Amino acid sequence: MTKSNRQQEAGGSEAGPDPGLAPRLQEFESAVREIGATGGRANPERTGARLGLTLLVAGSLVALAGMLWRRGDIGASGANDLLTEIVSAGNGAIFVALGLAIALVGGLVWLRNSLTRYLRHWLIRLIYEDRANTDRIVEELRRKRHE
Amino acid sequence: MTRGDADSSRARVGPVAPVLELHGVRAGYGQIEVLHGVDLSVAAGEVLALFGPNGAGKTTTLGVCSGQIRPSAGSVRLMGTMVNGARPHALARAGVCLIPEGRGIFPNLTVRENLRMATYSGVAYARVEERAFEQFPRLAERRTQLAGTLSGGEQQMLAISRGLATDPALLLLDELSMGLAPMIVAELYERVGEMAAAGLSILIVEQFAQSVLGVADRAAVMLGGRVQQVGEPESIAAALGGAYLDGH
Repeated sequence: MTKSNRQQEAGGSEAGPDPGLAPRLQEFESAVREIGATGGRANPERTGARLGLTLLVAGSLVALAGMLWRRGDIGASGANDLLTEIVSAGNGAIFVALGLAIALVGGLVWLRNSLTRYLRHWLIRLIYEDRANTDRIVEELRRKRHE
Repeated sequence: MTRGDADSSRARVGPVAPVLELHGVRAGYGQIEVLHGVDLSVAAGEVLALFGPNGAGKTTTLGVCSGQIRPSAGSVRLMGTMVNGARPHALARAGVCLIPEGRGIFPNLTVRENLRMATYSGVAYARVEERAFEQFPRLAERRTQLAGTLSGGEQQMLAISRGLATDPALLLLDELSMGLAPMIVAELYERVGEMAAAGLSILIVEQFAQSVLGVADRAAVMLGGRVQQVGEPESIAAALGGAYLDGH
């Protein structure tokens, strides 16, 4: 069916929805609204992997600092500020635990996002190879049929 | 139906926003930006043909429209609602259907099994099969054949049937004519014309204008990741050769 035929069928009007489609468009509109897209980000896995890596490094640093404080290498007792007080009281362990927790979460975030990227790549690769294989089989079948 | 009937029907739904609207869309793959600010819209029931040479960003544009590629800037709107960042499956379920270049069928499955894959959206298989075989009777004769062993045209018919089974509101067609004989292309575009007549909004991506001229309401030329020209299909087709050669 050509464009001109279509326009004739539509009563010669400008291209627009077939009146019968209006309910479908309404359905489409409400379905799109229900998606509630938040804007998202381009390449979210890469962002996630970077965030995870940052947390991993930051957490490790906090844990390391906590260990040093615990050993008394940093800070001295008798100081007035709160941080030094805590350290002096031997609570450097809190920083160690906090740092390890951050590092653990960061590691998990990094692992999750890296794996997603890798598995996606793997899946796509498999699909392409599968198609290439099928094409080869089909080609071979055709060749044999012609022989 | 008279024009008055059509007008009153439209009045019930009120002013309709474009089914698809891209504004200043930038997108790409990793560090490589392919789209440098694409502006495009498809009205309800309209067929828009998007032309451009290899590497112009046509397929990437379809990827953005279908949610497979997230834009780094700009907005993608469906019926006036911004859908940046929406998941592809959510858009597909809502009514956006992409028929990709290379058809995207499962070559190791039979025609029937491929059609069965379309029932994910809750459509009964009998209905899917009925629609598919009504539109493309040739598929009925091939129902038990492996999809990979079909001819290029039949594979494209299968891909279209599977897409339409989901009752889409917006159809995105990527290089429908690729690798097909002109007669088959004409037959396929005949069907596309019928879909458009039924009110479906369609964005067609093609490298060569001739095959689409009969069905497109408007056409656009894309070069270097930007839409360079939008207008009547005939005038765009006439300017196409020069645009490809000049690169602007």
